[in-house]
Amino acid sequence: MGRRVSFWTARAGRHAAWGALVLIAGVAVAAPWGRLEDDGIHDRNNPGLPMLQQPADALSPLPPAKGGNGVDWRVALESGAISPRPTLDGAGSVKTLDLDILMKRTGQMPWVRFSHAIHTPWLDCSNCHEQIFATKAGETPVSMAQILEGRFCGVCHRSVAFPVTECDRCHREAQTAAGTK
Amino acid sequence: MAPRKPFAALPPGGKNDDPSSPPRACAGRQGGGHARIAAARRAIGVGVLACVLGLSSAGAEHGDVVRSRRATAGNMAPVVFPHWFHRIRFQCRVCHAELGFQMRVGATELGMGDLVAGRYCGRCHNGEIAWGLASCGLCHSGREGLPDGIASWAFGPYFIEAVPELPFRETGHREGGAAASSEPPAGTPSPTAVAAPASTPPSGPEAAARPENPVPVTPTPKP
Ligand code: HEC
Ligand code: HEC
Ligand code: HEC
Ligand code: HEC
Ligand code: HEC
Ligand code: HEC
Repeated sequence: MGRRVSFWTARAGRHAAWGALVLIAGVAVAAPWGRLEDDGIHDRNNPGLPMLQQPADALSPLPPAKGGNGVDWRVALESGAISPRPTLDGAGSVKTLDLDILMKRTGQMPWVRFSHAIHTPWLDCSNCHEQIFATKAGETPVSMAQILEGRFCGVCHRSVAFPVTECDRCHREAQTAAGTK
Repeated sequence: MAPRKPFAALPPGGKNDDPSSPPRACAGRQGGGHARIAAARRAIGVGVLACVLGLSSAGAEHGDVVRSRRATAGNMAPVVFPHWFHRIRFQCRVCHAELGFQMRVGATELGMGDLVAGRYCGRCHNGEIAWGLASCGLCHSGREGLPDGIASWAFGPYFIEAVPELPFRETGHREGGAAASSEPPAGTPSPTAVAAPASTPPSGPEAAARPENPVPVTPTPKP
């Protein structure tokens, strides 16, 4: 370690200055959200690109979260920070459901509480039943490996809703003495 | 403090399956021995560079869909559909229940003909709910050569290719029901290379004026 320090102090001149400059520039450019022109999927030469909204402009005012879009979409919806239309023309009402399902086949991890109350303000029953989940608690054999593959909860939580890396947002129900299974 | 993305990103200009995307951690642990100072310096230099590159290109936004198969066949740039933008304005159910988009990239068979007829994107991008179909470049904005896929924050290279067949619940809704067959298609998506009937793309920019975006957007044709 001491050798590294002396290495840096000995070279404190040009190299460190350059390094610092480059780093500062890098940090200054760095935004929590990528710029469209650098995101690897947009064509930089598309003349329409400047007309598209930069993610940071839309997402930075929303309630923050770790991972995914950097937005806690549940809080954004519940707090009224956003009010996405429930139907195409904005009229009509939607069917919601307040029903929690405790999923206990989690091995050493805390149990998973699946909340219909969180999901149904976004999704229709038909988005999950019967395509992804049975309409009966405990009927669908779900495993973490399949979720990571993009099945079950992973259909959405792999790529659109908060990502599978955020274990504790699903596994948040401490296991109690009342046995598992 | 604003949330931060991991440093993984697509290698600029390269294929997304390149495993050599910038490292997640900044340099600082390389080298060490006095005999290897030169090597260490190089390593630190490369590390700092990779770090800066990684920092300054955070990758595509989680949920960005790329539809490329038919667009490419039609000599157009791939279509990029941003979930983050649309979900601020519409609940998932609008598209995934009301309008019939499948929850699997590439699974919804659609072409410009459908859009012009007012289906799928065309239900909204008609000059009423949103700007119309004449603004080709706003949708056909993807980099050439991308496959169908979706960006995911959770996966290192940021972009995962679409699985065309829906690997849904074992009880395959496609066969029409909850009859539990215990055979999941375990990672063997049957290719659904459906040769879709060519729908006619609009022959040219339609007259639909776009008050919100008055500058004409030219399509991005492939050379
Ligand atoms: C439910 C309605 C709806 C559907 C379906 C829809 N869009 Fe949109 N889209 C909108 C609205 C509203 C806007 C904002 C328009 C405005 O700013 O005037 C928009 C904007 C966009 C933008 C510009 C985003 C930006 O950064 O400004 C793109 C790109 C886009 N849509 C692509 C698509 C594609 C591709 C599809 C089909 C796969 C699609 N949209 C389907 C409603 C929709
Ligand atoms: C995001 C996905 C999702 C959505 C949307 C959804 N559900 Fe569910 N639902 C589940 C899951 C997961 C289970 C548990 C299935 C299991 O354990 O096999 C479940 C179970 C159920 C059950 C069985 C409860 C029990 O005690 O046996 C009913 C009834 C149900 N859902 C009704 C609905 C209705 C009505 C809607 C629409 C308002 C709806 N669900 C929307 C995921 C969803
Ligand atoms: C989207 C919600 C969600 C997230 C995020 C999530 N899990 Fe799970 N996990 C589940 C569900 C659901 C089950 C199955 C529970 C059941 O069937 O009773 C499960 C099961 C498990 C199991 C039990 C063994 C197995 O393979 O099924 C383990 C271990 C596990 N998860 C670990 C993790 C870890 C580690 C993470 C973070 C990297 C994580 N989970 C993130 C929902 C989630
Ligand atoms: C059809 C899509 C879909 C499926 C399938 C799905 N979810 Fe979700 N889930 C969402 C959406 C959308 C949200 C809103 C928050 C967001 O987008 O990040 C959400 C939010 C959540 C939250 C709230 C997180 C928080 O901190 O507020 C939990 C927990 C959760 N899901 C668990 C699960 C589990 C467990 C499963 C599988 C049994 C599952 N979800 C399946 C779409 C889905
Ligand atoms: C404006 C329309 C629109 C809205 C709103 C929308 N989606 Fe999508 N979604 C699409 C389109 C288009 C696709 C690509 C479908 C295709 O290629 O067949 C897609 C694909 C998906 C996929 C497939 C991803 C994969 O891994 O293949 C999931 C999951 C998904 N959406 C979830 C959601 C969730 C959850 C919400 C609400 C938070 C949502 N969508 C809101 C239009 C929409
Ligand atoms: C609202 C978004 C949107 C706009 C605007 C748009 N397209 Fe498309 N276009 C799509 C989508 C989505 C596809 C399907 C891509 C795929 O599946 O590979 C597509 C496919 C195509 C195809 C492939 C052939 C076919 O019909 O499937 C051509 C050619 C095409 N578009 C031309 C155009 C031209 C020219 C314009 C401008 C006049 C335009 N598009 C404007 C979304 C759009």
